[in-house]
Amino acid sequence: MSEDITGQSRRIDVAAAQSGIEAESIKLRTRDLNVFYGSFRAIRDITLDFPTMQISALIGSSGSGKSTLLRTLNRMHDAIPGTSVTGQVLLDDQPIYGEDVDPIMVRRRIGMVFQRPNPFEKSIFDNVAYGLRFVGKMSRTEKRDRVEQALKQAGLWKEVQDRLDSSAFSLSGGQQQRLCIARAIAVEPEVVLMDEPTSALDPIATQNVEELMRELSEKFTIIVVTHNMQQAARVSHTTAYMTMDDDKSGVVVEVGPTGRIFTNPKDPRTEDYITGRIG
Amino acid sequence: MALTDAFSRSGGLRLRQRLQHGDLIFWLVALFFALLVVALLAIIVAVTWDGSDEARDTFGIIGFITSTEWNPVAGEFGAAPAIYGTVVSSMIALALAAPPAIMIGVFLSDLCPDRLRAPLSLMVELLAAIPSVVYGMWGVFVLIPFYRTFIASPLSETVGEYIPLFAGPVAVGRGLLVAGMILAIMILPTIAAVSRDVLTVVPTHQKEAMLALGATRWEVIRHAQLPYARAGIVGGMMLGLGRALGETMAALMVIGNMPRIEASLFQPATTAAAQIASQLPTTESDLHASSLILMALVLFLITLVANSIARLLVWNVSRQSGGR
Repeated sequence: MSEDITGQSRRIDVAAAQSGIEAESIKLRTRDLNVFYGSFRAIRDITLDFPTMQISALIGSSGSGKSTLLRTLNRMHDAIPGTSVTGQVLLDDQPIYGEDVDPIMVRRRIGMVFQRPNPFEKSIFDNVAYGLRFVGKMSRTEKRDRVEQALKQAGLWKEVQDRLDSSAFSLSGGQQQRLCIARAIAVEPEVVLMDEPTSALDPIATQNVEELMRELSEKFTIIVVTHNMQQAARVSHTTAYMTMDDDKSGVVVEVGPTGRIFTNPKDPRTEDYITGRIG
Repeated sequence: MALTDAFSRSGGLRLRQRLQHGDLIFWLVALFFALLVVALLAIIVAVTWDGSDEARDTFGIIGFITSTEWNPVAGEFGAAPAIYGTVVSSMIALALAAPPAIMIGVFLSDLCPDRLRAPLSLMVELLAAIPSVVYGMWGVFVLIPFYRTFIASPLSETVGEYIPLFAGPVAVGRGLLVAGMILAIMILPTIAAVSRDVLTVVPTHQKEAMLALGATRWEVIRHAQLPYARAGIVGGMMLGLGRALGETMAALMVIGNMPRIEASLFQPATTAAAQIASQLPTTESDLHASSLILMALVLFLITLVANSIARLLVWNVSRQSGGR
């Protein structure tokens, strides 16, 4: 199984090279990754490459292990008792599950945006500035600059610049999600993980966030889990399709450049999923 | 009123059905017992109000709670020393108990290994099950000797010379501070249990948001959980305060029972509950008894206010945690 996937991931590299994207620049890799909740094996032997400054989408039906895979990439599962991980996750070729690796430092380099907007019960400014306290000491003006920059990158600055002191809960759902994105990028991570970032948003807000993702991919490596196949087709450069295979969850069926996955899937199961026959 | 509403809502046919199935009877029985609680509260207020008639006529409520003179033989009754002792000993208890209790709550909700959580929670809750007379006895035989030798005497002989708060003489050691210490141990489990409960219901998405920013475990607790649970923790503290205010036996055994207001925490004092319990069996006069009943009414009002605030705060937290 794993050989098969490795072979496929080599195929993307070729495809990526053909489409003019630098194939050798891989930010994050997984190698034979398995995650267990107790004795339940949630993802199996996953070997995937996530190219630098690109958007990679993970699609698949509920229970296929997409979110588990995503959360394994920045060690969010560490705090949950009974979770164990085998195999490797490499960030810039350094293992993040190494014995001497501090999960805190991993999360500072790999930020995360969640399914539901989850701002803190604080002002708009404080929400964005909150992560900066963990980065290190900085002057007040430096902090202001970082907050302003993050809000501009998140496309929220124009809407909130006159009310930075109002509560984050005074914003609409879509604005709150962009605020959470601003909060995540203010600490300047290298990778941003997004777990179904638009599933709680209306179509207009979804469109805003998708545009934002494309802009952010010029500075960050983005990995997004989505239930919405159109979204994966619209925003991502590469797509991986995950499924529950013969009652086994957490299997990557096929991975490749998004255009090819959606127009010319090689695996019949991928074709069934994207044409809506299952899912 | 509620009865007629129920009848008119149910209508004629439904009423017959309800009678047939016994639902109405069940409803009436349940309603009766529910109203009984309200009636009981009303009766207690009415009886204390009626019983304190003579004291209110003689001193007036304001005069009663502001007068510092309590002399049963001379017929002088002022509640100020007892109110002062009640409030100060409870405040000391709260100040001593809250920090460790909140730490216990944090440990039990987040840091404790799973295997230890249930037994440790049980032990903390068992602290609340110890009868207060046992606490009082422990105070007399263990805490007071320790406190006199290692806290009160050294402090009163050094800084006590300059700071009235710690002035001597210490004598046997009974007084406000040691009463506050006993009360602190007694209210610790209440605050710890409430803190644990409100910290446990902090939504995962708040903790994860903080974690994903690169926060350490301590930073997640400090910046995500404690602020979110703050109102509930304050509510737990108010519940503890309510218990300390009304606590009778333990305070009675260690506070020294002197109706005086002194600057020093080492001096004997009294609390409203202790004064009522110790004097009611041997009243000098009807006015004496009536004054004790009036004091009960005052104490009841103080604890009612403290508990109402507490319930409101805790209720707010549990209501919010459902929505977000």
